[in-house]
Amino acid sequence: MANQDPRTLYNRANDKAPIGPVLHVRFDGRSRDIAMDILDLGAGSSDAAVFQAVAAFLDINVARFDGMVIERHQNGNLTLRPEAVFG
Amino acid sequence: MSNPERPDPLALIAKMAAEEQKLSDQLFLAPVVAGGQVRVRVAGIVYALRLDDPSFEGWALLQTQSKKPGHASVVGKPTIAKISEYLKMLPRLRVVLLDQFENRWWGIQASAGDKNFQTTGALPVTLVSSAASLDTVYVRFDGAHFWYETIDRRRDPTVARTLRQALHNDTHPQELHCKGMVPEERVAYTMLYLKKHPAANAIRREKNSAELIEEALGHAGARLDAFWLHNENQATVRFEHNGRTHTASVNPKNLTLFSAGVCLSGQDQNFDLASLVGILEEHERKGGIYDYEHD
Repeated sequence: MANQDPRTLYNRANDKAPIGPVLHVRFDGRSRDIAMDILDLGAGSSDAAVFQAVAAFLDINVARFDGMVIERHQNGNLTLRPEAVFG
Repeated sequence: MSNPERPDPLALIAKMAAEEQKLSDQLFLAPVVAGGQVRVRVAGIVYALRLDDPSFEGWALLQTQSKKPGHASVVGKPTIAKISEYLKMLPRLRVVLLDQFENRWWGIQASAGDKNFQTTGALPVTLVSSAASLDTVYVRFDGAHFWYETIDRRRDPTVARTLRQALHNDTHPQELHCKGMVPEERVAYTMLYLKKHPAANAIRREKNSAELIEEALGHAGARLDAFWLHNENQATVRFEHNGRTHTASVNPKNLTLFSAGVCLSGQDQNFDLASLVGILEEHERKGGIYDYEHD
């Protein structure tokens, strides 16, 4: 996981909007927003890399993300959520 | 013939050489950061001198070497009185110490209302000694570095002590109570808590429902049009995305979906408002029909 540099910690502590894109995680009935620079992720990061980074951040086995999908929004943000079953 | 209004370059060079000569074999006091360089100002020009021992860090009495221009050696340690005299020449500010990040202390300005000094965010503090996390200290700024001077002895030491104990006990910042604590100390505490608990959500002030809903929709590029609170546990949200208007029913406290507006096989509560925007796009891609303005 990326180092928590003082600048990032200051912004988080002051409830400032994260600098740069945000990854929204909806997992296990809970929601979290994580600044992507904390995870060392960028727009070009693969789905696998995103799953690995989030699993490490949450300290869980990446296999728990089976059945989850990653959406990439036009504004650069990402969403990690369960797969929707329609019908 | 030289122009009387234009300085003679040769005379300038000669003057600078004379000043450098004075510097040669001179003893002077300076703070030194590991890396082996110290800066000295001579006749308004800053010289960078290399130390013979690049690993040295601290306050030092240094001597330049006429036989080795651009170099200086540590020849002694200055007294506290001399260090104090040096620092008094520099502007002073109060800082709440944080912790060491990669072997460098950092802090945040202790008084946001200080008219003489305005800093934003964390700043590195060099040559800290006899101080601990969350202590309020005085530092001096020379234009490049913030040099540690001393602990602020007028600050009640029990505040820092209480905060350190709370951090040791993993007290969440939102549950932190410390008599006499100032806002900057709370920020410093929160930073250290987040450093210790990287997986903790960013510490947020209480946001109202509108702010939460707007933020969630904005994550995926949607725009809030309106929302109605039916009770503390249910709200209807109307929003726009890609030229279309959608309506969903959510829990306003955590934005969990009650009804997405599309059939999710009864699994609506697995999702939240921020993820709904993408779900609607996916549903449309798969040829689904969305019941607009669905309640």
